[in-house]
Amino acid sequence: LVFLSDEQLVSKCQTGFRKRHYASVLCERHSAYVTKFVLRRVDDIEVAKDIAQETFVNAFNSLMKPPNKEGSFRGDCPFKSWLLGIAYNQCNDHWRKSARRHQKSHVTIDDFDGEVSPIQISSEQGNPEEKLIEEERKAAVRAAVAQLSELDKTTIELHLDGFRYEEIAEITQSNVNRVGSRIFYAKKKIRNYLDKEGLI
Amino acid sequence: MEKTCEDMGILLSAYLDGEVTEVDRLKVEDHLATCLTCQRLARELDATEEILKKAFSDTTQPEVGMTGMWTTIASRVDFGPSIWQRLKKLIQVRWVWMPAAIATAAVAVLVFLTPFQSPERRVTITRVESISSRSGQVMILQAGKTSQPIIWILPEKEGVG
Repeated sequence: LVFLSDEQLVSKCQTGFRKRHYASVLCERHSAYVTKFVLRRVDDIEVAKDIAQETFVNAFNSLMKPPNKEGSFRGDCPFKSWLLGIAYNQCNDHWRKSARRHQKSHVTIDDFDGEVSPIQISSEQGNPEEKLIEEERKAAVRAAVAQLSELDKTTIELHLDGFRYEEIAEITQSNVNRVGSRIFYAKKKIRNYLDKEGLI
Repeated sequence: MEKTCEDMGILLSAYLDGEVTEVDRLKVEDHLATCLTCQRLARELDATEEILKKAFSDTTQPEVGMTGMWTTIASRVDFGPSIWQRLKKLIQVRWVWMPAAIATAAVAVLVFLTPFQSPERRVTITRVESISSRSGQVMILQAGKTSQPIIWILPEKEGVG
């Protein structure tokens, strides 16, 4: 079944005789990415797995509904984007329920003190000094992105994962122009930070 | 109206990401050809993109225990009745399965009995040897392919003249 596209699998899932089987193929295909997407937002693998699981339950229950019903899959965007949209909402629900959201929402990139976790460098790989600078920069970039607002962070991460502006807009329930604007300002903020830290 | 460099930033970023229309692409390229500030901004955005991609390139996907995950998901999704459940439900409706069972039994009996029935033997009449008409009946003596004599006794009115 690996040769079947997501759209073909979704169609078989909605109308075929072996709905459960086709759903399991879709789940297998996307579970790792959905979990990774959620993990970037919750920083806890067990919570991420629970949210990913909940995402698939909601997604498949929606797929079983007739296409004209509220919350059902209409097929006007790629299945993966629709799935990530559900995951994104699940994460927002999680943060709404969690005290950690309060803590996170009050930290911005401007408050970031530049402290990053210690970097492990192996002297066997190339020039250790160059490697150290490279690893420092990577850690600083990741830390800088982590301090962006949830929406900007999600937008830039999806962009780096290769999603088109239109797909990002679908996932984050926004529009293409706003996505473009968020990506531009997020890049500027990150660049200014790295510049200030002397990393570029 | 010509876009200022301030307005051009977002469009320039989208242009570098390949996310602009043909019209906007030409606008950006025209502007870039003459504006040094925007040329510099384009280089910076490009470099930032590269740095970001490098920083996020080695983030590995988490291991997900699919078996356990799928079992839980499947138990919480209503996929509707399976083929077996649909058949079972159909069988429970008496007015459907009673006539169906009778029809099936009749077909089965026919199918089983047909091979045991001897086929109708056809006799080729080759010639009539003699006709005797006494006591109101016609007797036909006929020799078949096997040369075995066959005697037909028919009522006179049906006999061959």
